[in-house]
Amino acid sequence: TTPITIETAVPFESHLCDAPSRSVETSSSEILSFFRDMARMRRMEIAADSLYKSKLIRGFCHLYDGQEALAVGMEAAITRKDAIITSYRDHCTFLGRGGELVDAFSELMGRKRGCSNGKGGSMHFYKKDACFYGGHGIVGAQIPLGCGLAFAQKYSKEEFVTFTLYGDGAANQGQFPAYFKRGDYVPGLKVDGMDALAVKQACKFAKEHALKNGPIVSLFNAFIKF
Amino acid sequence: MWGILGRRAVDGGFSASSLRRMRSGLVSARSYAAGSKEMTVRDALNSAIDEEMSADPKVFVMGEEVGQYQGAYKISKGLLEKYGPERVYDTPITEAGFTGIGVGAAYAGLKPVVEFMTFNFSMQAIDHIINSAAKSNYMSAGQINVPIVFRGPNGAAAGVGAQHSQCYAAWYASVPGLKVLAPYSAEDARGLLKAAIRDPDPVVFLENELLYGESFPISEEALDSSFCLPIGKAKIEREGKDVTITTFSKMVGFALKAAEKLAEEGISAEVINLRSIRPLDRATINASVRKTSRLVTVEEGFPQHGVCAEICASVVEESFSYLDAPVERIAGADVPMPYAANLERLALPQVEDIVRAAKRACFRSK
Repeated sequence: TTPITIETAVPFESHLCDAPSRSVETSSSEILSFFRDMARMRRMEIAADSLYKSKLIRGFCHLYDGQEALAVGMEAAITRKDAIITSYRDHCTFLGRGGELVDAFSELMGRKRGCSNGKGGSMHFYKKDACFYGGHGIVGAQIPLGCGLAFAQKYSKEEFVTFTLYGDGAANQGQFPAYFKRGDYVPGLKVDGMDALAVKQACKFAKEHALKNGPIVSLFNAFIKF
Repeated sequence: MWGILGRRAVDGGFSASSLRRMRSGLVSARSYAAGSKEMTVRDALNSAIDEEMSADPKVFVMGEEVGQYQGAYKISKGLLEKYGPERVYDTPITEAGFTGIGVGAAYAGLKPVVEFMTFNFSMQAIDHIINSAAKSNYMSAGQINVPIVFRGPNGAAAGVGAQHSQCYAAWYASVPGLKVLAPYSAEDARGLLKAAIRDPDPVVFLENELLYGESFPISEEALDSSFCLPIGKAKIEREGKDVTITTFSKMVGFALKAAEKLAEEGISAEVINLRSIRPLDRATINASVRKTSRLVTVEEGFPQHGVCAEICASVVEESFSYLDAPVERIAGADVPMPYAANLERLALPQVEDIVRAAKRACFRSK
């Protein structure tokens, strides 16, 4: 647990705000936990892929392998009282929020033991007690929903934030770009999403920024494997 | 602001003569007991929201023009002054955006009352109503509940044309996970809206623009701030023994008028005000049909796959052997609402249509 300081490989880029420092504080135990969690997520997704190809998982199966650093780095920067809402690519986000592997696989295979009792499926994992609000199948729907979660936090005067996650598909959906085309006033951050420490630094920065100044958009460059 | 309002159907946008024509169809049998209070539907809704906001700090109101303008139809009059901008939100014209925000806030435990200027505009937000609100409790196996109310005028107004006149009762009532309510009187408006706001699940609350100005007698009990009506229970507005007429919203007034005309001809009609479209009070409807043996269902919306179709199916499934005549449904014409006043009148059920159907069911006419 002795603190280590590591420089991110790629610098942060910022828009309408200052970029966070490239020096990230961490520890050997944190780095090991990153590795463990990310490896577990990767193995889960690869297993899910095999199950899907064997038709033991039906319908849709959107995999997160490749983006593990994002889920893990984010969790390191925030608390379980900060809210997360995401798209249908939600398996690892669920794990990051404290979800169990057995509950995830049970859900994917339509079993009662699943985290949604088998009624949700791949795209509808939730963990309310960890402020994880799903798991949404309609592209872009989670964006105004996430604004609503943040609105509720502000209304209740809680010092927590909401992270609304979406991909490049949702970035085109009407509800989202319309707001931003109206005036260039929301600050932004560009982050190497393949670096868990950079993600951690960026999310820590984003949370502080959001609590003081309002919404911030962060672009995490990551690539998924499938 | 007027430019924005020019796009929408606005309170006061029809002529005095059309108002009189509509009002003559709306007068129901009332007893004018000396000293009994009367209340407009508008005031009933306003007082219901006011009382629920006062009782629970998690309740807040959002929608277009609900704040500074006092509400497009003045339903939210005075609320901004009383509760402040932290609890009464004027939204930009983006139903998809603000409905999504409302549903997200409900996920987190707040109790939004989202106003659609008319339910025609809810189609811009219907993905959030159905996929984000209605289905979430089931998909999350009960973890997420969504205590939100979507309210606003539904159905035809007067002269507002095809895109501003549709009834959405059948659409929303077909969705598991939603509750759909349709008040008629001021007491319905108060009791059902309070029930809707207190309900832990999403409720679609279908009002009627032409009823907002209508006055109804209201009991002391209904004026109490704890007053609440049960969801899923219909009301027998008028007892009868020869034919059952079921309907909701503005058509209740027409059905009561029809019942008066039928009584003059010796036919005793039982008028049921559904109040709740989902869940539908099948027990009350079927018990009535088992008593009268005849069914006439009335709605303003399009006929195919309508609320009437569901009621007919329910009665045929549960009370077939009690029927003495084929079930009848009276609905709006199967055509987008025309603009010309004479065509609009032909496109909507009138009192004469209900009378004719009831007589047909009683084999008094072809």
